[in-house]
Amino acid sequence: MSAHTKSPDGVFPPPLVQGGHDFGSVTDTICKIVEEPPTAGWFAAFAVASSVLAMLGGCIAWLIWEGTGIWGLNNPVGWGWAIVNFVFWVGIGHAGTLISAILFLFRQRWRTAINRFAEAMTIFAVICALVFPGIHVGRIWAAYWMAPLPNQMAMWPNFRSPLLWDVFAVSTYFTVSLLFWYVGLVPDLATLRDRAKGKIRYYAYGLFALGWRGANRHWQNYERAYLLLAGLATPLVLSVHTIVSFDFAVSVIPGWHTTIFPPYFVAGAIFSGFAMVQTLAVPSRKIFGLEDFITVRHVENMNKVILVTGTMVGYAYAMEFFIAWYSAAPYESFAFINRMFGPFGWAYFIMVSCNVITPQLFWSKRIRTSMTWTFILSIFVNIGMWFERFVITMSLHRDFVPSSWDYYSPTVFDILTFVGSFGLFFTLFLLFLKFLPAVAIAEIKGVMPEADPHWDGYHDAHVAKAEEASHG
Amino acid sequence: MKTRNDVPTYWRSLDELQQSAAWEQAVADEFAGDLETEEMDGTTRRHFLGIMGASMAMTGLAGCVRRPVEHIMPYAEMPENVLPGVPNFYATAMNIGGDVVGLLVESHEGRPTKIEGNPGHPINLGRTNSLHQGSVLNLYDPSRLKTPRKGMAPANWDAAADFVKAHFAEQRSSNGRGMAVLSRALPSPTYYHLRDRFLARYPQAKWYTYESVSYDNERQGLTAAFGSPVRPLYRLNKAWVVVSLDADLLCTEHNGVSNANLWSTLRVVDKPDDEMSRLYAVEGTYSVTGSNADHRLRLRPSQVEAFTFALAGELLAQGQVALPADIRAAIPERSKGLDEKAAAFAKAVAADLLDRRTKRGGLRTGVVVPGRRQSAQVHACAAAINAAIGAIGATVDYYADYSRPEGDIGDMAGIKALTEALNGGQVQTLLVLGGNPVYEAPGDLAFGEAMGKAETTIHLADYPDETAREATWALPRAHYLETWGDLVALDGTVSIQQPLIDPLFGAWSEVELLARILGDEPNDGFRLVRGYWKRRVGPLGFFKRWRRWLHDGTHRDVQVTGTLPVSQRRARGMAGLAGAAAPAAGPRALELVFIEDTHLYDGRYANNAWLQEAPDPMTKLVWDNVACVSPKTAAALSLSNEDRISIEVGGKAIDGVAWVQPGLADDMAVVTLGYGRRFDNYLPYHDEGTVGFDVNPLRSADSPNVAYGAVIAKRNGTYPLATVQPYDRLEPGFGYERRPFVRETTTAGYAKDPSFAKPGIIEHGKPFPQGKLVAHPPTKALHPDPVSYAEGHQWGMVIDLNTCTGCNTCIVACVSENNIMSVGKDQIRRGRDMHWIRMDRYFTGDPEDPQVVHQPMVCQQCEMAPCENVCPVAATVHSPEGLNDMVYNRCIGTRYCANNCPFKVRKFNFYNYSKNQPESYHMVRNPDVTVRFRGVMEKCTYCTQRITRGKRRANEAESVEQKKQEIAAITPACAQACPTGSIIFGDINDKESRVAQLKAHPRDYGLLTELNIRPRTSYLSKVRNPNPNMAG
Repeated sequence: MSAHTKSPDGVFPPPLVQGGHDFGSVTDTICKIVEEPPTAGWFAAFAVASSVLAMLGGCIAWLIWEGTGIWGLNNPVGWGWAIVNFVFWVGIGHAGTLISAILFLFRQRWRTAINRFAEAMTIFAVICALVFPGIHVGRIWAAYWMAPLPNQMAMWPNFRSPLLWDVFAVSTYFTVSLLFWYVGLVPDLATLRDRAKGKIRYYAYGLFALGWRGANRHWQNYERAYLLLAGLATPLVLSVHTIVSFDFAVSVIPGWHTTIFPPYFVAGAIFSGFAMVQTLAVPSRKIFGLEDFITVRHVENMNKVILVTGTMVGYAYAMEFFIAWYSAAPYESFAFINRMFGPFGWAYFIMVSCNVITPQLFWSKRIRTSMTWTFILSIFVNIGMWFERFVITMSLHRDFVPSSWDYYSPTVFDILTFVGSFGLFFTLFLLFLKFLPAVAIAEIKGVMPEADPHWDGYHDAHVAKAEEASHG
Repeated sequence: MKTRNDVPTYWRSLDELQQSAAWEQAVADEFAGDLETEEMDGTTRRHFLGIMGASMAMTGLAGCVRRPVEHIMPYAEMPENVLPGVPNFYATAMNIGGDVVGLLVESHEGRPTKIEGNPGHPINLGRTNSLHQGSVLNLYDPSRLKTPRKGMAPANWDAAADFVKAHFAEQRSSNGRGMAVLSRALPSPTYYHLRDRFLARYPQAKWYTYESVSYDNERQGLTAAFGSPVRPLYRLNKAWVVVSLDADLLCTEHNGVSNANLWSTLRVVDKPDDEMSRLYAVEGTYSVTGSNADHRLRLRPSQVEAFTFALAGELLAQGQVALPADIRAAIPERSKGLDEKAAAFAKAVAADLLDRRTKRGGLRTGVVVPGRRQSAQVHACAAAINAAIGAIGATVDYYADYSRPEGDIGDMAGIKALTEALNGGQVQTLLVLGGNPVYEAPGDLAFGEAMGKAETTIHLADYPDETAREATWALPRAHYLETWGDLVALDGTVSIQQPLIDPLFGAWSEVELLARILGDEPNDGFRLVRGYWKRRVGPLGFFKRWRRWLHDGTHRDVQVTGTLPVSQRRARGMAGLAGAAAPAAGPRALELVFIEDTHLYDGRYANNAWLQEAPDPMTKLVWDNVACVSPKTAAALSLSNEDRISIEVGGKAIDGVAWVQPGLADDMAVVTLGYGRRFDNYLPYHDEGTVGFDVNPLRSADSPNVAYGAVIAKRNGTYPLATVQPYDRLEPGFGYERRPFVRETTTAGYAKDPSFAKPGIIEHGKPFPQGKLVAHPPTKALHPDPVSYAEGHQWGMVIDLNTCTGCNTCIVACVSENNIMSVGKDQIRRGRDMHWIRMDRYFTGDPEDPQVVHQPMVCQQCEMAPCENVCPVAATVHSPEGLNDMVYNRCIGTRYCANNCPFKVRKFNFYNYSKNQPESYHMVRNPDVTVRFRGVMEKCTYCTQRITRGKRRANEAESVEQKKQEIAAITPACAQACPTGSIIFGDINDKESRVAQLKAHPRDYGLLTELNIRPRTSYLSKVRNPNPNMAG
């Protein structure tokens, strides 16, 4: 690898860090974002995000006060935007762990520039996701009954319910993701501690840096822990959305009761997760001057993942229809015809255009490497994936008995709650950008040429030093 | 200290005089100086007392508010027959516009909560309709008139009593000149007795009877036919051919409960060669009866007369039956204008009526039932037909009409005469005994204005309603569960109307007010009714008799009216009936038909949330009335659902809403009475505006049931309507007709394949619509049943679609029994109705002339319930007796169970509906059923509280036989109320039980059994009995 920097004919891939950085400038560039006082732009963004978050708080307070009736739910459609949003956010939360854990295990070294970022996004997305199942129940004050807490009634939750599996799956995922993220942060927190100028800053980072001194022993333990957590997180990436899909697949409702759901949901989750990473990374690298770390190659790689998973999702859509026809099950066939041409047909076509057609544009290298295109298409994918969950959830509106059929329309509170969840997400994300290193400093140094013991530069430096010594 | 000028100031010290601060301090400090303190474990005595005092003050804080004095009484002397927690049942009776049924009313600790039919009553035989079921809610209506009002100002009862006494004493000198009484139909001997005394005391006074839902035509026609006013009692349990001439005989018309009940007995088919009765309906509206007919002919109401005479003509031609001469003579003239289809229909019906005679080896097997909206001539002609085909005494009995006092001139003539008298200034005192004539009277009379011309108007009112607002005095009228009375059913059976509770707010019944007017003492209902019957029946053994009578609700020996003597059972024709033929109709000049609402009747139940929220059986609309038009007429007028329209008749116009109803006759529109009521304080769920629109302004006294030449014009905009079955507006047109939820065949098909209903999935490999239905492959469970369903009681239900008429009585009964909350129009529009029973209504066939099926959808109590395994907190679990139990306390409201229910019969409390209910409605709640709170799921429990009660009684039984009887007697509220007995419930493990036998019946089928859910509720498939000689 050490030679690739010297390859003049493009045989080797371009370097992962560009712009002639050395270790010191890497640390400076990344820490600068945290250490410099927030810009007016940051304050403006934070003001907007936290206002939207306050609105979410208001919506939730009104929901708890008044009841789920403030939403557009009705009798056939017992789950509406809340569940759609839950699945949407959980799906977004997939990219982070996938990038950190699976790509780590596969030794995809380009991941280092974006993993911190993506992991933070994962955690915040899962927080947003967890809001919804918590508040969507009728009696929020009793929602803790879903947890297997010993109680005087000797009453346990129903372990046959996919919703319970969901609680376990998502909370496990959240815990492991948080640990994984935190473990990765420890060396960088120590860096920030060491560079801290104020006392509060020093102690705050010091507390979370867990006494990291960069000792050999520390590094050994750290690498081991990181590897173990990566191993633990990897199956979770697959299991979480598999289990989320069970919420639907284990039911008897046509349009939900489908064996293809687990792989289809996982592919969709990775798809949407990467799209969200792009949505965030493309502007951030520009704003915070991280273009040298999050390079065009990173963006292109992620676009390739989007292309692959998008195609898988498109295949799943097609396969659902094929199976509905091939099974000759009348209710199933109807559910899919209705999905396309029924009252929610418009949502289906939004979903297909955003999720199946737009990612195919990434076959073109020009589009794949264009930041503008990437950003626009990632927004399309985000929209499409929200609609995918909407379309699936809306299978409820026409199931078996026609007399029970109805339509579903959201109320203003459905919409504001969903918008508010973005407030929560961006508030957390802005705080993250301000207080934690957005790129893993320690890790990215590991993919720089200087990290290679056989790096030529060492020789040059050595020679230069020797020369200096002899002259001096 | 203020000095007063006239009194010198006295002072004790200079300090006091100067009011120094030190002096004030000394005065305030009651125990001045250092008092000795006593050590008590570190606490001083004074400190201890201080703390104690403070604690007591704290505990007594709640008592700081001044509260009214309330006396509580120990339960030292227990009222007789009242066991806390165990309901009592009392027999009583109820009158709706002269239609009387016997009831048993459930009372919990003195509160009537639930209406059931009295099985001992010969008319309704324990059955009821939705009005009876819902009537108990009116008792607790917070909008009732609670105190007497003079003008609109509340007055006290003494003032009202004094006024009544003084005012009517004054009238004695004038012999009642200038007095008029407007009464509702109230077939009560005590009432009639008091009326007679009133008229004797005030011979110049006039007495009118008015019912908005008028049976004038029937009375006139039958009076012409039989010489005296009679009412028909159809014996449909003996009628093999029933012809409805614009009559909703199974539902809204008088005696509908009895009709439906008896009709259903001949619709039960057990064996393939069992015969079924056949029902023909000729109507322009789409009534419940029409939806149950084997053949239905769409005909505008005005043409039904022609059809009737054509039918008479066919009977004459085909069977040489004996018809009165004037009818025979009128046939050619009056049967004109029928189209070919209708003529062929008449021919076939006549053949069927006659055919039966030979086939079944005897006469007297058919009956013709004319509807109340049809002209007197139709009734006379139908009576002649019934006489001619030998129906009288066999399939119909005519009873002397007791619903009106003697000499009554009829509803429309009465109200017209009264209005004329009022306008002529001949009425100074108007006494309105019940009713609401300002709202109910035909609009052309402008009764409200006329009423203002009387000096004194006294209204015995249920509500501060349209009439009460205009009256000089409004006196609260007692609800029928609050007062004593006696009511005579159609066949002359007399029931004592027992009150179950004292008047909640104080109220007088009609007899009590009349007694006061007459200056009688005592004037309470009990003494009046009992005293009347003691005099009438004789004192000998009266006490025992009376008790027996109260207990049973009826008395065998007391019969106040009877059937026509055999000598009079010949119809005489229609002499003396005037009436012109109806003008022709077209899309620009419609026939506008006024029908009584299935649930609000003439508007007297407009303030009843249960009934407002019970969907219309055919349109499935709630909380509104509409103008229904056929699809063709709608197209001609370019109307669609929810369009705002104006309806104009003879220069008068009202605003309304359009609804396209498949199956109506063309060139007509149907509107329902009873809406657009204007209360001061409207329904608990509607604070503003009115519910629906009032169509009474378009009615005329001469033609109150049909208005000719109505013009419907589309206005701008739409008006939102709430329907519980909205799919018919959204259906894109593919695929649902192949859903085998309702499985039906004809008698011929049934004879060929008795178990035709068993296959329930579409043949594999052939997507709809080509595939035929086949049986699904055997299903297998992943895990064994948690309990053995072969042991103990296992509850199950069978619903016979062949006899279910779709009348919605079960819905209201269920609401009443299970404390189901009403949610109001807005919530229904959002699809959040709470009914545990959904009455599914599907159309089949040509949209212009479709057939209809009804299917009550309740929780199917699946043995492998999809709802159960998805609940994360195990709030819905299976009982060892096969019930799918819902544990409200445990439910956290994820709604996953409702999502996974293939039948969508679980209902969710999106808001705190029970908390938002008016407080007085709390009294109607059944204490045996949990009142559900916000955020929990609820659904049909098979009335688990009744099962528990039955099992408890079985445990107390003394013999095995009695035990079995107690178990067999367990009946859910829906099954109890059902007029046709279509819901059968019981223990399916008891092979002798009816439900177990029906489960083994070839017609029995379960829904979606291919999902391996194993529903406990199953259906008996529908068998239609078309005339093989008729096409289509």
